Amino acid sequence: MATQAEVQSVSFAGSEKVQQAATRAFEVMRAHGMFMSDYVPIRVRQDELVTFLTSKGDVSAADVEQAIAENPAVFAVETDESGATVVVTTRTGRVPVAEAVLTDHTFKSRLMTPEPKPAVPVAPVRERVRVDPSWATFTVPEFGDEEEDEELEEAGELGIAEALEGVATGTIAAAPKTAAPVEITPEPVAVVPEVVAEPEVVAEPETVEEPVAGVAEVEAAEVEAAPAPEPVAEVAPAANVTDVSGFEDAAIADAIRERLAGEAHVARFGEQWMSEDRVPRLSRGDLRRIKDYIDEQEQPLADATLVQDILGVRPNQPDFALMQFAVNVRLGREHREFEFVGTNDQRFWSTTNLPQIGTGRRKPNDIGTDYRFLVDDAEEGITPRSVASVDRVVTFYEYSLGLLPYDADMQRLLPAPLDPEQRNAVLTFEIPQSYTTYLVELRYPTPNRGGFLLGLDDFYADNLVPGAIISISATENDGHYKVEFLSTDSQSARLLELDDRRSPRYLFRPTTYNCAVADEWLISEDRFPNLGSEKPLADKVRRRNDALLKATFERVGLPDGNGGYLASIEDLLAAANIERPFTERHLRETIEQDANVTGDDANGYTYVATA
Amino acid sequence: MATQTGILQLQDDDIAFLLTLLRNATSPLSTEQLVDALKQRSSR
Repeated sequence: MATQAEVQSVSFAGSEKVQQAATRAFEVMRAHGMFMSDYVPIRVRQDELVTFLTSKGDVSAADVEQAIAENPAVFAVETDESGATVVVTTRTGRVPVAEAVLTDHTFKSRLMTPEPKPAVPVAPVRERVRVDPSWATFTVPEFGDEEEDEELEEAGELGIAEALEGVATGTIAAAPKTAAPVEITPEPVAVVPEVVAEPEVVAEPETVEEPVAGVAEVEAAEVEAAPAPEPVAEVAPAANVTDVSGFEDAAIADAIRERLAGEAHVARFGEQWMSEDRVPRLSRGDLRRIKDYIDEQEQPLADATLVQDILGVRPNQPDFALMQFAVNVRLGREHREFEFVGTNDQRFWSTTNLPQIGTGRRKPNDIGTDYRFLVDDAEEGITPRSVASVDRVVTFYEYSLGLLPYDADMQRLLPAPLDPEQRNAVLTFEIPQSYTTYLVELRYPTPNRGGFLLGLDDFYADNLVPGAIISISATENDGHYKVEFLSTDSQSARLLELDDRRSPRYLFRPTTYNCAVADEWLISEDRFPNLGSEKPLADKVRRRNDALLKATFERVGLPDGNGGYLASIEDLLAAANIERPFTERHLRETIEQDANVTGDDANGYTYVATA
Repeated sequence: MATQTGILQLQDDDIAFLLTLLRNATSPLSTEQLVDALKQRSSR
């Protein structure tokens, strides 16, 4: 919208000629500042103004100068930096007024300066709640008994009857001012310095005892100077120090475990300890999310994974180790939902909903029963993690179920359970030759079942054949192991397999393999042609040593023409291990105890049924 | 206090010392660390 500014009329003083000159001068100056705002000073040099006006010829220079001088309300005269005289006016026809800059309340100060904190009004004194005096008044019963009268008489004799009477009839008064003040004499307090022990003490033992002495001196001095000693909160005598220098670390550790295990205020997980009140707690929501996450992943997860993914604590944060410990301690107390299946270095947690690791061909309890002889023949004094590697030959039974026995050799290689109640542990077996890692479940022995490892089905099927030689090596991590096998040139043979698609049945299939094998454990068609199309033995047959021996003779033995079967000890051992684990020692014992078997290692053994 | 059988019996003062250590720790302590602390304390 365009608007036209009003031109205010300006009146000038002086004679008519002077007014005319002033009008002309003002018009020229206003034209000079036509784009200026109304109150901005318009400055024109006086000599230039006079020259311009006189050049028109209608006014004289004297008139102009007089007009400027006689109208101080319109024109002001200044001297600029160069010393020239300057006429100043504004478009409103008034002398410009010096603009006063207000700095006491600016937008900048409003933004940058916060408002002062409102003064808190003085809180009124709370009226003390008092019991109504009528409730504090009691009267002497109107009908007193004789005993009370006697007491009053005795009190009168002692001179306190009047006081009692006054109390009985009046309100309870304050204690008389004349009463002697009670002097409270503080009992002498045996102040013993508190043991100051920071966690750094472990690394820098020199700082342990020195502060103790200093604290002791300071506290003792304060107690002596103060007229009323304060009660000592903590009394931690440090006088009796057990000399542990003559004991081995293991003995000291056992003593610590024995004593600290009974302390309710100490949280423990594995070989880690902490004060219970310093362990962070997990909410029910945290526990539920952890359980859901493990179920979603369908495999046990390590504590570090749970801390990162569920609790959002990164490994580079200072409280990462603390949160790991908290997860282990808290989940360890949720027996209904969580189960610890890890090792000291690799702490896996599982839930009750997770599927079993490993084969489904046979129940774990049945496998444990097959390995019961490991419990019966258990060696004493086996030290876990005492060997670096173990070499093994994979039998047909182990191959078909994807397992390894937890025998004496494996017990020396693998870790013991972290907790006596732990039933199984999940380990990771890395196969460097195929760049794969498998989760393997170690089932610890029970009183009537042997231990074994499950979960190697895929590794066996992809890389090995029954009779293959493998080497299992320990790493620094007690939950992680490396498995290697000897690679060879490609070999082909018709090897035994268990076909359990419909009815379980053994059959020979042409197989190509690239691993080294122990020939005495290789189950090939050339060696055992009669095994093809055989069915697996029933449980009641295969679990009895004599029945299994008889069946094995019939399967792999050569007919001797007299109704008997001839077989070598190597053949019997390899074939018996198709059905169940059978050690050479047990096989020899069974042969010796069986009256139907005759012979020796040199000439082979002959089975002739006598019944 | 050492016994003839070689079994170490820790006294209440030792346990109080260990509990103080655990109370002041900001992260869990291992058994080895506690053993070292006891050994260094007794050597003083």
